[in-house]
Amino acid sequence: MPNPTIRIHNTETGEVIDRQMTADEFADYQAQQEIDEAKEAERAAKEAAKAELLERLGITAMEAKLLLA
Amino acid sequence: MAAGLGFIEFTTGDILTAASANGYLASQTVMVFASSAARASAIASPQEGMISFLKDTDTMQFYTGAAWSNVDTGASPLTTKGDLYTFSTTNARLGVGTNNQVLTADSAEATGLKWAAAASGGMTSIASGSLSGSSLVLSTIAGTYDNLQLVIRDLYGSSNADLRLTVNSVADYDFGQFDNRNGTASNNAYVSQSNFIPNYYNLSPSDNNNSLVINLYDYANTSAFKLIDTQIAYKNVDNVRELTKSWGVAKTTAAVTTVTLALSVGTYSGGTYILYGVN
Repeated sequence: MPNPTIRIHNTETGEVIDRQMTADEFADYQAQQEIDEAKEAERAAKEAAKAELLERLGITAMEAKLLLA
Repeated sequence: MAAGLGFIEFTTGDILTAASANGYLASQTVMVFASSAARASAIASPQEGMISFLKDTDTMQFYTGAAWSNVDTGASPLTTKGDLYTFSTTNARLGVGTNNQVLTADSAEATGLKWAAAASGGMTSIASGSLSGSSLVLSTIAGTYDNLQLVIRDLYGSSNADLRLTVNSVADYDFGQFDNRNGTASNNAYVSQSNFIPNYYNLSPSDNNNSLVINLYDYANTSAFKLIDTQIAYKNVDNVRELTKSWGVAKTTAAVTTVTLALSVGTYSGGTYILYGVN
């Protein structure tokens, strides 16, 4: 499978080229994807924990906000 | 009075006629010539203090001992609406400029002044196009503006994805976010990140009229870190409407010449961009 492409727009000349990622760029792209997945998992876990806590307390997010205000 | 006849040297025995008295004597108080050439022809050796009038240019001149020089008559050189009374080596007229021009100092001009277009402010489109592939790289950005603004419309990708903003090859960003997720607010803070992320949750892979604006302030300076702020309105991975305001810093003192906006995964399925230089 070919590497993803990058669109490069030279703002000085106006030239626009589309080329495939180099091996280094692709390696970096994959590494960033792992970071992104971890970040997204962390966000999802945070949301789930919040929802679980609200459920245990038997209150809504709005009611929790009122309590903390 | 008869018209001036020019100059004559009376010699012994000459008869002074009425015409000579009128044409020469009266006129020699101020000698009248058709032109400076006629004067030069008539007076081979002018004397300091002589005064003459040239009919072709309607100018009064006196002889300094070395050259004929205009007598300052105090007459205004102004002739036209909007004229300015200026000075070069003599009094001079500067005609009014065109609408909306401003008066500008310019040492190359004879009077040191000229009318010129006002220095331009506002926004200049530097580059525009459609998003494609997994990232957009805007390269070779001239450092001729105060700030940069990148406007992205209707962007979305082929998968649930984050956006990643980088400048040059900088891999060190601190940023904060205020997020409004369909009415639920949250604040988030990040330090030493390898890229700047404008969104909080992943964007969903469909055209949701998403809108993103990125501001890069004082991007051409070479001594201070670069401030960034972004605003994005989008539908997130749960297909819920979300607004994220992010602000932070790219830790580089180099002038920004390249801006990259990449998707964390997948490729752009839609979206357009306009990069503005802002003054």
